[in-house]
Amino acid sequence: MRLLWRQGLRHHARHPLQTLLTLLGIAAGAALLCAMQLAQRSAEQAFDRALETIAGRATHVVTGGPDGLPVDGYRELRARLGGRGTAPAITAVVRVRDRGERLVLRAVGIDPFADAELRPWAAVGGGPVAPLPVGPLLTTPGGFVATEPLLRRLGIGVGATVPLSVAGRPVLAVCVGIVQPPPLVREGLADVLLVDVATAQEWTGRLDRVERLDLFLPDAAQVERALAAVRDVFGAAARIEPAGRSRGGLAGLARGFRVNLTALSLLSLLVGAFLVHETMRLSVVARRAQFGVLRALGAPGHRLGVAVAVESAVLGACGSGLGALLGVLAAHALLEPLVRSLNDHYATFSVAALEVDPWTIAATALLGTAVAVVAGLGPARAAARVSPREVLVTARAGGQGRGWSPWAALPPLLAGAALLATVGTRLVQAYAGLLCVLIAAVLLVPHALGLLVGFAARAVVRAGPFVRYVARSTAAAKGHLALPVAAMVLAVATTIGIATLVTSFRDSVAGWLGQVLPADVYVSVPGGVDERGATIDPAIVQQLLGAPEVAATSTYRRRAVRLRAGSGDGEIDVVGVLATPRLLAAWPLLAGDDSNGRAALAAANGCWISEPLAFRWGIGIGDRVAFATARGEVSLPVAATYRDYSKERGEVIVGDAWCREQLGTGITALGFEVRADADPTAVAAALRARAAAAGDQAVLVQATRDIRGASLQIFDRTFAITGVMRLLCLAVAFFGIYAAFAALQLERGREVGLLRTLGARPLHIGTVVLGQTALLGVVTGVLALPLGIVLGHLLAHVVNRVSFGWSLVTVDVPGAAIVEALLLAVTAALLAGVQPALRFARMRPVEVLREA
Amino acid sequence: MRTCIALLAVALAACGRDPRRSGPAPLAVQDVLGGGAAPGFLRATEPPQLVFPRDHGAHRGFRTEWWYVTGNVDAANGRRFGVQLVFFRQGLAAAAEPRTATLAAHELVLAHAAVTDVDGGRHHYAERLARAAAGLGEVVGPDEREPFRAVCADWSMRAVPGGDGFLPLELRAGDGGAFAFTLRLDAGKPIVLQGDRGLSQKGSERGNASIYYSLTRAPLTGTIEVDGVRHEVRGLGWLDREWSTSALAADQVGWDWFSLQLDDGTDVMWYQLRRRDDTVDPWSRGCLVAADGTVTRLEPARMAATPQGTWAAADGLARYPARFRLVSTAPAFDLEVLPLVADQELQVAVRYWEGAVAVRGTRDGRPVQGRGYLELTGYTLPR
Repeated sequence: MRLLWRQGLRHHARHPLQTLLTLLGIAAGAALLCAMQLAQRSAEQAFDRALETIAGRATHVVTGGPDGLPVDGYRELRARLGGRGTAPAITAVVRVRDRGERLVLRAVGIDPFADAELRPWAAVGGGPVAPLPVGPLLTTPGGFVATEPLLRRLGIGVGATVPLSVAGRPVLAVCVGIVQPPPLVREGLADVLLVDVATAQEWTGRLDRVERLDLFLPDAAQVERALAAVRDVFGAAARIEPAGRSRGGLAGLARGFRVNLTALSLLSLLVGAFLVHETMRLSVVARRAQFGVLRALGAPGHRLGVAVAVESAVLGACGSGLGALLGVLAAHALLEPLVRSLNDHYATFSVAALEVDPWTIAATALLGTAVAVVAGLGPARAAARVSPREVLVTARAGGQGRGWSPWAALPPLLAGAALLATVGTRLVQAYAGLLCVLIAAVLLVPHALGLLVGFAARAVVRAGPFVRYVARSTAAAKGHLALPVAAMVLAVATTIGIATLVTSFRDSVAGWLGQVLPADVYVSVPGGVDERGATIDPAIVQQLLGAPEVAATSTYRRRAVRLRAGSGDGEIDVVGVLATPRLLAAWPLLAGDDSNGRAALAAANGCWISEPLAFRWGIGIGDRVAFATARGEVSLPVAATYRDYSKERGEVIVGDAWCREQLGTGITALGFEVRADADPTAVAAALRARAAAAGDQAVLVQATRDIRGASLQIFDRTFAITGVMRLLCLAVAFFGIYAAFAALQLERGREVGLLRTLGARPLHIGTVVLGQTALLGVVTGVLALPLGIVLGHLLAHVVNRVSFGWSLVTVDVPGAAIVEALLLAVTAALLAGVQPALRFARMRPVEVLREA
Repeated sequence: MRTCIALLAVALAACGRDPRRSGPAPLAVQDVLGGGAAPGFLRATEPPQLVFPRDHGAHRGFRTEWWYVTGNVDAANGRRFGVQLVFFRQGLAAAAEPRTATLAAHELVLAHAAVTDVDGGRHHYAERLARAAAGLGEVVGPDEREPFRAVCADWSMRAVPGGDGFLPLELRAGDGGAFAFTLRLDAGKPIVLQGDRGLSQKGSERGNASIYYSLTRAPLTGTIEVDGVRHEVRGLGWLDREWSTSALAADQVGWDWFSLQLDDGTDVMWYQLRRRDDTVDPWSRGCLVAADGTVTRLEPARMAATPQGTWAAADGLARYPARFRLVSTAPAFDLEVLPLVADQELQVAVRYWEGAVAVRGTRDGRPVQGRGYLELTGYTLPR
């Protein structure tokens, strides 16, 4: 056995490039997976821990209408529930003004006198922690406490003031102390300014209300009593539910995003696995003669197999171990763009630092090793089956080749079709279906390859001997080539598919932006997704509405409202729109696009729901949507559905009058259509000046083309990660194709030696080798094209829809992507041929023959 | 002198203690009642001109104030109970900046309630804490607009309509199914002004004092519910009213406080301040109220309260005297003070022992017995 391993080592030492590339390939796959998992995990943990920390030990949460709950109700409920286990909370996103508002923190308003059961670390006299400076916290306007690391990040100490903006309004915060909770809680408070609930009331303008009440009800009898008490005190306006439900994690919030990234990283690992397979196959092929001798000397076949399996395991372990470590480095780089994308689309939060979770690293390394072991099983089996006689007599390289009937592709194809046809909203099923289709494609590759190279051989029948040799020898070797070509086809098709998705998606978004932003200038409160409900000061609105350059104005009143409809129940943005005729005509309605549908908002007899909401909740025209208002539930029928790419969770549009009456929301955005003779940029500047004169709230006044530009920038930023992943996948695939083709040429050294003996010159040999690989590159490109197109459509129509709920206007395969993919395939193949070509060209014929 | 120890955690934080100090903050009486910085609050320096019922209400110029009721009551079937209900008001800042939020508060209200089920051998207690805002916690009246009311979450002390705006006083408290009571405290013996006409000096520094008066013998009637069983009860209550900004001197670490009601109609109050070196502080004081209301001051030179044995909490973190012998030469009495239940410790924001006691001994040579309350603070052990 030791002899076998020594042989293996010697083989890898003699082919360092091959081994190195394999290691790098598997390392790249593992690194990508590890980095993505670590970065995602860090983001999710930071977000979830913050939520959990704030929710504390709450078992139930009471929430009210969009304005929260009245303080009087809180007092009453607290008294009814025995004065304990009931604590109010108000949270708000705050931005640090002297950091260009890019430093986003969360202000959490709590009542330290009510928190003993819920947030023991914040309670007065709450156990073995340093107490909060309750006096200053309560009595200093704007007083806050924070953890020591956060104060360090802010570069301030106790007593310092921090200028903040909350919903665009300036407030001055004063650090009155340091909170020193236990370590886990401290991490949860990494971006939290703890303030007294009264301060939070003042900062958010909810002077006589609280956002929610957290309850600690450890036993069932208490829950019953609490349910009754909540009903009595708040009537239909409030709901009480288990704490975990309303909490939801970032993983749930950004489910589509998460699964898609994970799927991409797994793909890269699979390509890495293919590399191991090829390397081990090569290793077995190169040592076939040695194996034969060993077998002839009496070594049992299974020993040879085990030795090869161990070799691939070691290769996998080294590669994925290295990859996992590289992944940690990559995760540091990935964290910021990832969090930024999550901020753009899902929630406003910040992550202080990457959390290097040893389990994730270990799991990646293990998975990488396991994949390598599985990938090495085939070669191991081949090694075990080496027959002493066969080898000694013929010393012929190669195995039996891989050939199977094209009908083998039928079962996975049918399974894939069935999975995709019944996908519903199950994203994992969508990927399973996709995988089945890909497997079917891979199974078809040998057959298609045979047809194509056979065709090539016939096509060049009148060409010179070397050209004919290139085509025929490639056709003869198709059995060995099937797998590497299949892998490259997969990788290239994936790039075509992803490019198709991204380009079509971008075009759809650009077109959609034109429809939903028909006005010339928009005014809103600056901030991220969690601040979209921030209202513009009425004084500013008044000033802006009076601007002489404005011809017509649409108003928007957005706020998160608890909705119930179809299979859904959750907090969704509701926008009350007072639409100009231009807006009304332009809005991209999908279903219900008729005069009734368009008139429903003004008539207050229906609402419009966004496509993702309709998809996710399974609702459509005529279904009723129940809105949780301050007076209980009020419902409206769905009058239309519309295209929306901005909110994965969905969105609902209602009429302005209905919104004001039922939800009582202030204006959150304004869309101005300027007079025909006015320049939008100049009008924007004038409006900016008017807003600044009317109040101290910072508002964002933007010409529409700037918003479109910014939106597309966000789009590109989001898909930049996909782009990077696509490139990495390609790199891994390139390693694969390189290794495979190099191995192939190595196998065929004897043939080449024969050619040299027959008088072929080094240049001829080089041409032959490169010609073969170029032919394979072309074949790969030709095969990848249809698969890429199919993949693009599946990604666009199935995965994209199941992930986010939206459909694309058109799906086109970009010509550039096709050219790029073909070039890539041929270039990769040519590059892969360079080294063997040089090697064979330099060899003396006798050496080549001897080696073979 | 009554417990304000429960305020320690709050006040300690309110005083702006350096929060960077790591580890648990050891709670010390001195932290809250000492002469720490309390800018803007008044200090007790002169005997006050008290006017009732107005002065039964809050004195917001001072930082700390309490309404402290203890009592021993019996059910018709002979079952004996001790009860305690105390409301603390703690000012957090003297000069309040105007705020717009309904939950903005500049003071907080804290309450402790306890029932000692003497025959059941159990002591139930609970705590409530609330900001003085939006009615979550409040102390209002008595004034021309409304009678006295102190509220903390679901507990309250309210003037009964038809009285003087303060007395009779209705006391309501309870905690889940463990205990609950609704009691009425009526005026009994006249008000006793403690110390020098109500100025109770606690240390040599000017201003280390409180304003302090008591109702030493006030009828207490109503219902007590323990473990789901309701008892109609009657007995004698004791009300202490005290307010201050800083009272204790730097070397005072705790006190033993006695309020005893003897069967000859005499009431005895004695507080013994203990110093860090375990000696009795010369500022310890008390009084004896005869059946006819005549008040005799008690001075440390003629008094001795000697602990007898010890009782340790189950967790070993506090050890208290198990009983006391209280001896005075003039006026002459020799009383043995025995807890009715050994474990009457309250482990709330801070821990202290406050419980019903039985008294037996002699007064002017004649045998007497009685009931009362004993409070022991500053007995927690270093961790």
